[in-house]
Amino acid sequence: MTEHMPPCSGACPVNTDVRGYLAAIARQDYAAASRLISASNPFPSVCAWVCPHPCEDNCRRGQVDSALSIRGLKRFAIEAAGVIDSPCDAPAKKTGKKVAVVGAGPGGLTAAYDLARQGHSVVVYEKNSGLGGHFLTSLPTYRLPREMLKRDTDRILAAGVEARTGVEVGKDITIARLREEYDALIISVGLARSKSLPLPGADHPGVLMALPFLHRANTGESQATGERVLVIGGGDVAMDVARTAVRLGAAQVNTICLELREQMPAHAWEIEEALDEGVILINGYGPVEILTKDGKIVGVKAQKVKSVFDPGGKFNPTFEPGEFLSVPCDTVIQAVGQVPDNSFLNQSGLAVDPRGSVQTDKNTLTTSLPGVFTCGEVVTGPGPAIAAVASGHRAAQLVNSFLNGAPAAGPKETEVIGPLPGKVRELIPKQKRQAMPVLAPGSRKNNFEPFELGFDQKAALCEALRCLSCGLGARVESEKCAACLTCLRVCPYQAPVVGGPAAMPPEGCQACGVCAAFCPAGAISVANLNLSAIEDTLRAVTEETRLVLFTEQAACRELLAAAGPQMIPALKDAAVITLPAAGALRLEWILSAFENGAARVVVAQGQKDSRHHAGSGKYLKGVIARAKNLLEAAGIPGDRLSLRKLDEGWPVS
Amino acid sequence: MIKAQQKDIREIAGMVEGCHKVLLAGCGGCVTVCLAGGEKETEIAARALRLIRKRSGKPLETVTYVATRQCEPEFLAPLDELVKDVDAVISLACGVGVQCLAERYQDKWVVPALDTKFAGGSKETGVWEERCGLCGDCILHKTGGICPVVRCSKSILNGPCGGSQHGKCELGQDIDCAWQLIYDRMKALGRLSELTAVQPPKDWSKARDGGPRRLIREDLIADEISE
Repeated sequence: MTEHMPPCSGACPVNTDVRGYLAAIARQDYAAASRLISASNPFPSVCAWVCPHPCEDNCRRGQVDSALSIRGLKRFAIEAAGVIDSPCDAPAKKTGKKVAVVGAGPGGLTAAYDLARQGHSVVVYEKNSGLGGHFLTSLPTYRLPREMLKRDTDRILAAGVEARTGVEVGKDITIARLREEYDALIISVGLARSKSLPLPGADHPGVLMALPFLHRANTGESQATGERVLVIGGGDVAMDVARTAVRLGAAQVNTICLELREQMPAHAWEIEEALDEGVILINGYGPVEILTKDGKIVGVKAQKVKSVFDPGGKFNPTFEPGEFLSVPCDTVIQAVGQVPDNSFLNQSGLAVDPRGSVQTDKNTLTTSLPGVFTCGEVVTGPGPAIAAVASGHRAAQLVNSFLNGAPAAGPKETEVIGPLPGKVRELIPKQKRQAMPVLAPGSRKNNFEPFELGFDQKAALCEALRCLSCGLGARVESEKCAACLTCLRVCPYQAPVVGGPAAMPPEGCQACGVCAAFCPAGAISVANLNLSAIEDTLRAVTEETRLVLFTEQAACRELLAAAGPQMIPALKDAAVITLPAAGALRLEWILSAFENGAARVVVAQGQKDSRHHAGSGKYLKGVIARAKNLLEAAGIPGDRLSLRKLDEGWPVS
Repeated sequence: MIKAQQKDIREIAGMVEGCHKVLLAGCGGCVTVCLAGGEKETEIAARALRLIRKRSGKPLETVTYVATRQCEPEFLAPLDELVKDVDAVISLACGVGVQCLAERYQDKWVVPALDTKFAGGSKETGVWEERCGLCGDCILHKTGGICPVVRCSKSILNGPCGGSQHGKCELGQDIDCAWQLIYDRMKALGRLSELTAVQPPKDWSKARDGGPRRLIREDLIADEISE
């Protein structure tokens, strides 16, 4: 059977089990959430702060109201769980093979971590004094507190990776020497140098480069920035530079870029945050000259852009003849892209491509020299760090195969669940996205303190509960299906397709579990419903059990407790069974609870505005009535079973 | 399809009062479709019976099995082992299934958990209506596809009777007059004149009045001589 991947995981370069960790947060199992986050990503803490979250861009909740705040939830889980010891972090049995990794950025460290866990001896060579690559040197500390990076790199080192920092390959040690000492070599030097536009005046010392500027800012090193700063570039790095310049005290920070606002490569949220902090955008102009007077920068002359891309969509800017603009400034910072620092190639014997970069086969990550591999941005080009992590995983897989003399498995093929059908989209209740609390612009723009404050528990639970659980829906055992149409009739979304045996298209099924509750043939299973856990909980019920509580996910224990002070003692001795929707309740479970001796059974529905599946509970009243009739036949008073809606209060007797 | 309804659980419990262990046999055919005797209902009945007996201090052991269709002997073979050590078999099939089990397990006490109601179809979720009287001599082509045998309270073939008032039967306002329905439909089809033909008395010997019925398909009767 084809496994359908949720679009969030499909969009993540390392296929993080987003759905899994959001569900773990919803059930308040933060350790499990943290483990799932870390399972495919050795930089869980860093990514919780800075990942550009392609998962959110693909979240199907975005087709209903707005995407889940996945990165915010990741941060909540990581912080709530704290540092977790995981047995998989312990170094594996040694293979006797040695691997050197050049560059301690996300790609290189990921490869090193994976290889160390496979038992190889791994040494990482890094020219900087610390680990993390751009995470360490370039990312502003107001976006990434360095203790988060340390938390991740400590875990990588604990897996057995040895780091030799302050060693520049190509200068302090050559590639040829490393090849002699190690069985395999991975080059992951990233794109460590800022690109420079060849403008007249660009060689003026007041023209700074983005990466060194950010690095100095991060280390607290003083640098001569004036009162009026002009940043050239429209990407995320340009926004980081502009916002850093604001924090360093510039009175005015302009950014200038070829693109119109909606064409800018920077993420929309980072542009908005920069604007909130007073950065001014000058869109649609391309700098043509750095203007100087008496040896000082006085401005930048820029020409109006006619078009940025040619009809084929290729970057090929054209300009309006004679339409110029002068932007006064005393400091210019170029943030127009990054290129690799190829000094490591010195006497390496490695073939280079026409651009001067190391020649790489992008599929096998091999170079012209046997046993020398590459990964990270040096292969993929500029992109999110999580893509470099994915590249590091692949490199480790290929190197491991090379060392073992076995062929590497190909990349995993997956099928991503398609968009929500229009009618289903209409039927899903809208739930407001929790806004990430942030420091007000006035409080954050004069310091480097983290400006995002993180979710509190209630906000995190509410946000996690918005997840649509894509792909955890119903499956039909076709040989048992009687094609009775009940599933289609009770489904709140009209998702099943019943020709012969029922089919449950994953695009439409919202995993509420109602169809499985009513299927007369027992032919439907719902992955979102942990049947064995439910049966275990019911089996554990005894005559000492005061209350068995069936609660829909939106009315989870925390929120139930918040419903009233009487709830807390009632819940203390309760067996709690959480369902995706109250309508997923099965009459059989009620009977089992009483058969095993439960004193009371309560079925709780969430508040109307937090209900996850509209219309999923419309048969509950009838189910409860039938159950009461059966209980009364056994001499059990019907009032020992009740249906409660939290928006009607919580009368506990 | 056959439509059936589960009996009151007290009545079922009464049928197996002296038993210590029972087999509840569900059916995956018609009674699954009408939500009366499939896997889910078999499980509910088993748990409810256990609960009743536990509360009365006489615990009952239950075994459950759902046959693909209880009306086919081949599907009953897996039950042969299960019935051996039970005191009774509770069938959650229609009356056909109950009898098939009783015939197969001559020495077992086989009891019905369902009341078999009628041959009908779904009206809406949870509502079924009778549509066929199983009379053995279909005349739906003469009555606009509406059966007077089961949908007319009197089963009259030349209706309506004088009890038809504003399209409803004199028995109750919730019963449509079948002959009003027939009239309206034939009119809509432009075939009203066909209703002027008087229907002769029906040959009820083809229905239950002729005694137990049997169907034989000659082309499916094996001929051992010519083989």
